Amino acid sequence: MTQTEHPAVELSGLTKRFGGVTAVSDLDLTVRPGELISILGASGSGKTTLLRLVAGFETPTTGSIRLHGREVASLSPAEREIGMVFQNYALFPHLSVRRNIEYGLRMRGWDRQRRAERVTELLARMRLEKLGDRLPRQLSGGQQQRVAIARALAYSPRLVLMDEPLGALDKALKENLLAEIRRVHREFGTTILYVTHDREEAMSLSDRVAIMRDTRLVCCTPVRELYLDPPNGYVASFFSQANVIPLGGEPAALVGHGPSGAEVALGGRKHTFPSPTRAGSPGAGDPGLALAIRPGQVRAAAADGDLPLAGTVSDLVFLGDTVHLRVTVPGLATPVSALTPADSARGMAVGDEVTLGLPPEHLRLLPEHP
Amino acid sequence: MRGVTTPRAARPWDQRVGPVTGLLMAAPLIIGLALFVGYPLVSIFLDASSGGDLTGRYTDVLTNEVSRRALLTTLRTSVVVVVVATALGAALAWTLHVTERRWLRVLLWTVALVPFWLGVIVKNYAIYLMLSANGPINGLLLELGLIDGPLNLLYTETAIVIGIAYSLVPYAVLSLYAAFMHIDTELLNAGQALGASRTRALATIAFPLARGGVAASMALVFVLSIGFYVTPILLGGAQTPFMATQISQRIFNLYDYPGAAASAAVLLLIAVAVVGGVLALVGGRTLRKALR
Ligand SMILES: Nc1ncnc2c1ncn2[C@@H]1O[C@H](COP(=O)(O)OP(=O)(O)OP(=O)(O)O)[C@@H](O)[C@H]1O
Ligand SMILES: [Mg+2]
Repeated sequence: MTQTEHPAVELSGLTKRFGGVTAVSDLDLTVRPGELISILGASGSGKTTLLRLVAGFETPTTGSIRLHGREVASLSPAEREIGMVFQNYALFPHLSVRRNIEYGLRMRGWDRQRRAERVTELLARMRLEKLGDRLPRQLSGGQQQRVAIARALAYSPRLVLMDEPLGALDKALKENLLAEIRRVHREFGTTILYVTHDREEAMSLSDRVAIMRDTRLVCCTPVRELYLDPPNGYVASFFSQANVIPLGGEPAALVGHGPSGAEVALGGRKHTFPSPTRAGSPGAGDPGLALAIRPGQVRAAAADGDLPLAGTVSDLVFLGDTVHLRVTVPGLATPVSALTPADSARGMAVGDEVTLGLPPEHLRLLPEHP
Repeated sequence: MRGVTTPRAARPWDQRVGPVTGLLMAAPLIIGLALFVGYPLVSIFLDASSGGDLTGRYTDVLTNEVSRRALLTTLRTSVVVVVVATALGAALAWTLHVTERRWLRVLLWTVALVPFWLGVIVKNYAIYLMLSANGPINGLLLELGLIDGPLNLLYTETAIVIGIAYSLVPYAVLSLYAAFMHIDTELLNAGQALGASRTRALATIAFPLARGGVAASMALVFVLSIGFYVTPILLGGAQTPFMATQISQRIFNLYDYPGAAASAAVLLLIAVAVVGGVLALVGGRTLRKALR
């Protein structure tokens, strides 16, 4: 089979405009067969539109879509051989749960016995055994979601598109179904594009995470790398929830730039960081650079060797072993978050003046914007 | 003594309307209905059986050569009208439901509703002119050399069908649009993603969801069609008598009020049977949903 060598999904220069509104712009993405990619992005960033383009419910304004090596511009949704879980479920209201799940199998001409076996299996997997004869409107939101997933997986399509399929589920059920999705993915080598709002879902599920911002794809990177080494300030704060401190002069500034790296002044100290790899090296005083550090790596009190950051505690949440501090720092638009052991924040209260410690080995110099 | 100052519970800001107020508000309509619908209805049946002849006039309506022919013409024509108006109406209503183009929607609504705004005479006269021997249709066919002499388009059942269907398409469009409105087009996408062709998705998803509404719409068109009076006279002439024409002849030419009443009662019973049949067919569910 030469088909297996082709990427499962190949998008190039994909753009979709609705009248004057751009929903997806100039998007390139290649997905290997059997890969599970989460698409993460704020509301309105174009995630649903991207899936609908791939499924064939929308026609690209420009750009091309290849599925398993085949240009699909002229193929109807039915001919693209995909499974789709819709953001609003789109269950057939006049058909029972069983009939809903069975629909795709009927359309493909499976005989009655095979259909029945497959549906029973899926009902069990989705923990819907007792609900087979109900109508969708007799189900809770979470149950409807599971029916939608079962329906999309029924005929084992090679590519499954899921639009926030677990949005309405409680935590335990979510874990359960995430495991189920991972299992389907592993067992059948199904390629999955999985749209979500939820970072943790994306982390626990995917091989790679694609981040969309404002109609554009910011990056598509293996999950660990993305978390530990975010490519820019946007991803650092959006995905790793890191504090991003722009080098705008106050409280941090770029003071020098040499072959060994970029020299940054912060809280009266200086430190040299390796320059971020980026097309074209940043010139001195490049306003586009920022320092990023995750809350868990910020110390409640500066130790020797830390870069100090002075501010006022604006919020303090006790989480048991740890305390979540928010510290307002003059010159920074958003407060700095610190997740520190409860002991180290003992006696601290809102309104206190503190000097946070930023260990230089955990600070990362990167472009502020994608 | 703070407990004493509790506000009176007598007139809470309740949005609901009590039974008495409700009845009072509906009173003019209820009285009008009793006077102008209830009374004539009862008197039709009383007249039809007056003079001790309980069933004779009904038998006459169904067996008398002239009246039987009128009845069959009326029913046959109305069935064709239902098919034509529903097909046209469904195409219009579905396009209106799914299109995103504003100009198309405006255009289609206008096309669909113009017959509503035209008077009965204007509508029928327009079709009369179109179909007449030296009208544009015959003129075009002659010009193209497709026919040698003008076709007899007027005074045929076809002419009546065209006339009635033209008048009733707005009813079909409105009622079908109401039925289609609740069908989420995303469901058709879902069906197609699952492997259905567009036609198959329409047949297996949209049609079952619209079935009740379509049946109700067809019943409406049928019931309205069997009562048509002006159109059959103008476009059908003497060759194709309609029930309504028959009834008026009995009244004005033959002074046979009881006979007219029996004919009217037969039409009425047919209408009631069709509506009842449709309700039974689509289940009272659609109706109950509407009443809730
Ligand atoms: N049919 C449409 N017509 C006009 N604009 C649209 C249409 N569909 C989407 N848009 C616009 O495109 C942009 C992206 O929408 P999309 O639904 O893809 O966002 P999303 O990332 O899925 O958001 P959410 O997380 O809220 O579901 C939005 O600004 C939206 O208003
Ligand atoms: Mg969406």
